[in-house]
Amino acid sequence: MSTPAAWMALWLLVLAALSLVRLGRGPSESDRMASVQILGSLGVAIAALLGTGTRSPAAGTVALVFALLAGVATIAYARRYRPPEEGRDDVD
Amino acid sequence: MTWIDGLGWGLVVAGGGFFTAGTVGLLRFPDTLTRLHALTKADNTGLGLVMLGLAVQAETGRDAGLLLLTWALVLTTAGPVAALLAAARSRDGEEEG
Repeated sequence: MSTPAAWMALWLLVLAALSLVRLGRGPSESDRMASVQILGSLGVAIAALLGTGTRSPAAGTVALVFALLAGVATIAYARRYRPPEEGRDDVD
Repeated sequence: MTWIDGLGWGLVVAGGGFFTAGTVGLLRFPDTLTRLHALTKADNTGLGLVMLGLAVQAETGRDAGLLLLTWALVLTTAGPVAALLAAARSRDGEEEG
């Protein structure tokens, strides 16, 4: 496998592990979802790097799916916890 | 290694630097809103540089186009994501007192 791709993918993996610290500690739920979004972006970069490093075209599709999942998951979460409005009783 | 490869990997390394800055910001910034700034500015720029660096070296035009399209998708979702997270934050503050 191409060496620069391997090293950069490894470094991004280290960053992903570090972002888990915020996932555990971040005082508010928005902090944790921001960590999830960052994990998604890092996952896209790692998948693209591995795809280029191993000359595998399928990894580009993996990166695309990852991008969709991260974005949709975070938006779905944020939609559930809308800012409080008067007279609303349908949100936890 | 041709100059195209050198340019590509230079962009990828620069992207890695931006990702590093974004993660450091996520860990070290004092407030939710500032952490969202790290997420939207640094990480998306890092992703763009990595994708650009890889697209420059891609085997076919289709592969390069797919990489850049994925980056465009991440950018498109990251904007509303950050805005919604910032809006949801006010509710979290009330719940957690």
